[in-house]
Amino acid sequence: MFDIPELDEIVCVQLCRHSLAKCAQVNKKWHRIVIPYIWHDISDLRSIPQKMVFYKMVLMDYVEELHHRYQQQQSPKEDHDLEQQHLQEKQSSSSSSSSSPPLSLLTKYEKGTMDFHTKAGFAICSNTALLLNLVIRNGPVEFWRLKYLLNRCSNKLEELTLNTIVEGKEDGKVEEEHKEEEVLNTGAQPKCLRLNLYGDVLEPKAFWLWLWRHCIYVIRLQVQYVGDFAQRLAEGMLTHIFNLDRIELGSETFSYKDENGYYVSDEKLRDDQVAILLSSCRKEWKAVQVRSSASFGESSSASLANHFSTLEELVILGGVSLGRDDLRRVLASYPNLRALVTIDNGTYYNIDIMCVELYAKSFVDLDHETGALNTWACEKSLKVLKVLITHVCDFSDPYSASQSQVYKRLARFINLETLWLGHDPRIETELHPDYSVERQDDCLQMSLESGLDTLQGLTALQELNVSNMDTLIGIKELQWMTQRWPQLRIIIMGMRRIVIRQLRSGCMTTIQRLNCRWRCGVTIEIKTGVTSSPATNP
Amino acid sequence: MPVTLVSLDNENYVVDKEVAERSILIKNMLEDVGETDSPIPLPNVTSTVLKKVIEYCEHHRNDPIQVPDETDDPRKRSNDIEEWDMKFMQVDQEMLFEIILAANYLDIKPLLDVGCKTVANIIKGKTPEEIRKAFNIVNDFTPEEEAQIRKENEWAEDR
Repeated sequence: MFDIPELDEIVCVQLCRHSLAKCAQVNKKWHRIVIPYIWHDISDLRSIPQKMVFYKMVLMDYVEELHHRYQQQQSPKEDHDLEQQHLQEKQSSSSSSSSSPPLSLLTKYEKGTMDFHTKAGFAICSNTALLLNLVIRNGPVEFWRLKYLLNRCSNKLEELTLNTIVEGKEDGKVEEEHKEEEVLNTGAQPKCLRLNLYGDVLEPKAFWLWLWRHCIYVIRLQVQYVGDFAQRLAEGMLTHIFNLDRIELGSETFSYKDENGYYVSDEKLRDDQVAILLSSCRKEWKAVQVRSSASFGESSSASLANHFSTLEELVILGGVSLGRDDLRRVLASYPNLRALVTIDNGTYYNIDIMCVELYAKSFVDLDHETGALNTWACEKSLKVLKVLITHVCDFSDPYSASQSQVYKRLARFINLETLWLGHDPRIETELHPDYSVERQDDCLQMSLESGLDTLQGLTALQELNVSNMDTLIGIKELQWMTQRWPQLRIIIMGMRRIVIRQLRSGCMTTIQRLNCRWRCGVTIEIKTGVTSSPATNP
Repeated sequence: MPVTLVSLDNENYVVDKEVAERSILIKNMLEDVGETDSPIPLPNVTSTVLKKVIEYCEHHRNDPIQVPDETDDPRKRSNDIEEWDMKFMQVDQEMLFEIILAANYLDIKPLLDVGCKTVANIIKGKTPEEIRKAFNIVNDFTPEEEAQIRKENEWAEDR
């Protein structure tokens, strides 16, 4: 502008980038003057369109070159036309990213999602080196593209989700020259791997080997669907994933009526597949979770039983059918069990499939001869118990047991911190407004009259949820609870108007907060660190 | 104490010392020369421009002297232009540039800032063609070059 750089500077620093861009188009002299100011600091790019254009321009050549090189390495026999097509695709689907960008692109992404249906999957993630969580879904995605992506990630990557079909040539070479150390030093080593590999397309052996090399540090595996590859997956688990000790099988799924009119879940993992996977742990399982789309039959049960001594957490949700005695067996014989969960309050698609039932008689588990409670292995270790105990009544049938007996059994868990009983709370969220709220009525009453006092030994208890049971909890019971259970901080119970009215009138000073939702019951938060004085009756 | 300033085209202007010393250049000259009546030559400044500069200095004779701060980021200085200054700067583009150059030569920072701010304000919000018109600039890009540059800096535009 002025032929004097100092003066140009004074003007340029006052102009926003937008104006500077316009100045750059004025004439050659202005372009030369203004360009350094535009490019001085690009760390504050805000909008996605801005970023996309920027990457496209700055990184396109660099990325294309890498892409090209990769292609030539992986598939030298590939059609030249196909190569061109790929290059074109990349051009049209605004660029991918580079692991070491030439300029400082500061956007930190925690989660990068590649959606291959639109082939614009590359566009979202600006800097895969900073990814914590890589999700690849829809598809199909070619194996080489997957490799390319994962190799762009760094060791910051914690979770890898493959919710896709992976395609590739059946005769893909196994890379013998690719040493394991190389992968360890350069690439992503996620701790959590989620697999939902669907479709009939065969995958090359190379894919699995490559995947395992990246997954040697995986400690948590989630499997929703593996098609016919359960065996391959199991092999990989045994040979490569040494640290794995948590597995989650299946997912929430919808139900439909079968030919007999019974509601069944959409099965994605068969019993034998589950069994294979459960048998393929290098270490020992610490935590196993099974959800509706996985079947858990005899084979699976047997596989799980092999890990009875180490299992700490068992979660079975959403209508997975177990054998009648399975839950009792678990409680009775797993010495390190810390948590048994069969009811939950997460998202729930099915209102027709109930959770696993634990019959009161099984739960009580009396010795036939002495009539005393059998000692269970997890009595000292159990901290979390979330189960539906049914048939708590005085009938003498194979399922029922009395209130006092059930209390006695519960009282054995002296280190219990969290106790949920009753129907699956999730059922609330999906009920049609016309349905009345179903409360379990053959349940533990939780009243002093029925024997609540038996539970006074549960001094570690922090959380009690009995919102889906027809309990008889009144003010007396609440006061008893806050006195006898000093760690108690939350009680969730069903709506009982009288009780709520009394609570609202302030008769219990230990209450921090009261929250009533007519469908979900009453949530009572207790003040911590306060021991209530003996009850003064209203 | 009067000081005589002589422009490029040999016009003499008598001003108070206080007014003249708004220009750091003149101030330093006076300190070096000492007490003297000899006029100060300003061969880089024409009379029309010098008249304007003197007008500015007269109006701002009582302003506190701004100590130049090394770390002062002009972007951060968000003081808007005063009304008087704005009117003062309503001149044609050629004169505006001359004033700025003079202010630079004479080292009158406040005037320099105001001038450059005025230029920036002219540029803001204009298309390249409008900028060219405002500053009488000829476009020396070929259409291809122009398209290339537009593409290159597309990201910089706030869309």
